[in-house]
Amino acid sequence: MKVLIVDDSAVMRKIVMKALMEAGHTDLVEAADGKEALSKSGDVDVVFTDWNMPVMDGLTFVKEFRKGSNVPVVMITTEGGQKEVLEAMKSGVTDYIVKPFTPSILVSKLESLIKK
Amino acid sequence: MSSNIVANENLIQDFIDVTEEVLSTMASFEIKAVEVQEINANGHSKDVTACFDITGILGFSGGRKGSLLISFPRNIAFGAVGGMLGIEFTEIDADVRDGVSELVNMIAGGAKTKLQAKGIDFELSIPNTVIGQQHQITAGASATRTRVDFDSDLGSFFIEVNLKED
Repeated sequence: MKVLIVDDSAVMRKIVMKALMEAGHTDLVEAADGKEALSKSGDVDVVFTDWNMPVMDGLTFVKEFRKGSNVPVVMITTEGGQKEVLEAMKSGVTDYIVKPFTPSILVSKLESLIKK
Repeated sequence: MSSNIVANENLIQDFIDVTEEVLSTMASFEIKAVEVQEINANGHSKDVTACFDITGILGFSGGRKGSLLISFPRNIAFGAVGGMLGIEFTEIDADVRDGVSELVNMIAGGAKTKLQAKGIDFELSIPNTVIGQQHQITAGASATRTRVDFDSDLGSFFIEVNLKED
C-alpha cells in the first residue's frame, strides 16, 4: 500500500507520516505541491493532499490527477466550510479531513479506503 | 477570563475556541484564554504590536479583510510544535517556523469555517512567520484589533485578531 502525502508544510507531512507509520503503513512518498505530486503519483494506492499550496493547489492537482486515475484522494485541509467540501467533492476528492485532526482519524480514513 | 468591552465579542470567541481546539488536538497542549482586550479602545490608537520571539501571521481578504497573528515565547513554540511532532526542540529551526505557520493557518481556517456559518466570508493568505526578540508588527490603521492572552503550563502567549469594518 503506497501512500502519497502532499502538503507544502514539512511539519504537516511529518505529522501525517508519523501517524501512518505508527499504524504500520511504511511505504510513503512526499510532495510539497500539486505539481510535484503529479510527477510522483504514477504507482500510488492512496493520496492525502492539502488544499492551499503554492505552485499548484490541491484542487487543481486532484482535477489533473483524475484525468488518469481513480485512486482514492483524501483532502486534509483547514477549509472545512460546506461550500469548500462540496467544491472538493465535485473535483474528484474521495474523502475529507478537516484540520485539526487526531492520528486515529487519519488512520481510520486510510483503513476504510483500503477495505473498499 | 477577564475582558474589556470588545466590539466583535462573538467573533472573537470563535477564534478563542478554535485556538484551544487546535493546540489541544494537534499538540496535546492545553491552554486557557485569560484576557481579551480591544487594543484601540477608549480612543487610544496603538498600531504597533510588541511580540514575543516567534510570530505566525496570516491575512484575510475577499469578504471581511484583516489578519490573525499568534505570538509565542520560544519555549512555548518549542512545546507546541514539539507536541505536534513528538520531539523536543532547543532552537528556532525550520520545523519550529513551519509548525508556527501551520498553527496560525489551522486557527484561521477553523475560525473561517465558524464565521462562514454566520454569513461572514473571507479568503486566507499563505501564512508567514516573523522571528526575533521583541519584534514588532504594524496593523492596518482602520482595523479593529483584539488581543487574547492565553495561559499554559509553559507560560503565556497571545493571538491578535485584526478585522476591518465592512
